[in-house]
Amino acid sequence: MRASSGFQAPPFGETFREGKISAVERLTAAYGGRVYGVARTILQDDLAAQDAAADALRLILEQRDAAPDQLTGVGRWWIAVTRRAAIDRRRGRLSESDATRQLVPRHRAGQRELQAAMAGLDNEQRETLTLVVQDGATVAEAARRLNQPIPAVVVALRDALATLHGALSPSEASAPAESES
Amino acid sequence: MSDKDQRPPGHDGDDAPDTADDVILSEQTALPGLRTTAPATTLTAHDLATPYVLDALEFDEREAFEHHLATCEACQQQVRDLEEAALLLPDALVSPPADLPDAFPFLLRDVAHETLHPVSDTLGFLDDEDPEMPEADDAGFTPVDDDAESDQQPQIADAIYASDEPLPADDDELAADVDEGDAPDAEDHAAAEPVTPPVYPTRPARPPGRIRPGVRMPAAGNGGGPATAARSMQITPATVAALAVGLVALGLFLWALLLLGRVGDLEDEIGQQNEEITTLRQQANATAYTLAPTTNGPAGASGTFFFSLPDQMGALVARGLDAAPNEWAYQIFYIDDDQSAPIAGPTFQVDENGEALIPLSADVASFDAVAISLEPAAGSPAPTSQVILQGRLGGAAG
Repeated sequence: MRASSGFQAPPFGETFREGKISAVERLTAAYGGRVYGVARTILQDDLAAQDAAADALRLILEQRDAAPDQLTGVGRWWIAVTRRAAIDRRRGRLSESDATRQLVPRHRAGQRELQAAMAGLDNEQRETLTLVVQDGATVAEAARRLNQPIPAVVVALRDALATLHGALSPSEASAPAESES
Repeated sequence: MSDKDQRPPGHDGDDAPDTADDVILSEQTALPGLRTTAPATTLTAHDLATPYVLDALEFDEREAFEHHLATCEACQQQVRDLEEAALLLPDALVSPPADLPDAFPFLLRDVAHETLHPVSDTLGFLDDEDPEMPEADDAGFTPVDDDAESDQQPQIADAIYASDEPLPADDDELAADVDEGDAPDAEDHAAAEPVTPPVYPTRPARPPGRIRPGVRMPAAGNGGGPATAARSMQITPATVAALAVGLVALGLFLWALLLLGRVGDLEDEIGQQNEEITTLRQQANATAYTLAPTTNGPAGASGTFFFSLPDQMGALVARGLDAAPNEWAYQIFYIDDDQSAPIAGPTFQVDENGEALIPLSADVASFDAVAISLEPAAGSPAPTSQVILQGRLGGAAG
């Protein structure tokens, strides 16, 4: 391990908010494929998925002053905006005006922490979540596809999200300090 | 376990009686048969917080829940708590596909440059080096002009494909990497400062695939949002008016085409008649005889009898006649001076211009005269009314 020279790179969010291309490169390198995957799974259309991902990138770049400090945070923001865009397109609805900023994640859970929390879900909860989150299904659609009554789907979703919330609570983002910077 | 048992704290029903708050998910969206096998569970508005934060409600359900949410503090708190976890889920559940489209990275690159109008990135770029992307280290450019920026763009595309490794772990790890010296240190930074004019690589050609035009998304607060397709389908009054004007114009155009077609048909008909007349006249042996009105006929009436000896064909053209009354018709009678009684010929009607063209058999030219009178529509063996048009043929065939 090399000793620190004292120089510290600015946090990702800072360079991203400044609109530096290098920050966008990092973001697209780390999350481009995943964002496209989210959109394509929901829209089942390659070109529409690319459009949704690109539109979402444009939106978060235009509103980059709201970006969180971490690369993972911005990446999840991009994913969330893309997912919303894809669902909007699939359901033929208009977006809410402040949807983009509403989707900025405040939670700082890392990938390992997130996967550990996901491991606490049972198969039914994971399957239901996958249909709703990954495929963009509504509760009614998920109920049909799972051949389950709607209340059972709602309960599975509620329990799953409560489990995740409980598992991730210790690293709640509302902690004021962003130690990365 | 009843549904109420599973409700979060604060939703035990005391503050929200079911009779008032029951908001059931759209019944028509569930298979009818499934309702009978469902547990004895009644969903209330409080239960929709989770589907709400996961964006899994139909439009009407979402509206109903938001109406409830405005006055339910417990649900507001629950939504705040759960939406943070919900925002993490796509990242946890979705993996990047193996078959990323070739043009996608370039699309992102274009969008980034169109949106950012990149700022000078000389020092910032060096400071911002990603320890996982060492290929950017030797880029030390000063992207002041657009060309310089565009030369830098392929790095986005390259980086996406170069990133087969898992996501950049946790930001904490990245921060640790930075602290561990993977990022440029102060000496590197100082050494990089005397920037020499960079030599940019040639921007590679855009691969075939989806090339997205520079469509700019509306900003938030102005109805902004990611649903470009849905927004582009909005129908405004101006659009409706334009469509209406367009439809009227199209209707007028089609009507004009129909009128033109009708006029064309009539012109064709007249032209055909004229051609027949001309043909008869141009026949070497064609002869024309004029029929004139009698004192009983209309003053403006006239007729012409054409006969072509080689072709043994003839025709009578009548003009200036009034339309025959109902169940009446004009009839031609041939007169042979050697015979006492005229011989009945064909009947005919005139058109709206008072004209008629009647083909006649070959032997009519052997007669001495022709006369026209008004007869019953079925025709008469001999004239039953006054002759209104007549003329001498002069034994044309003879």
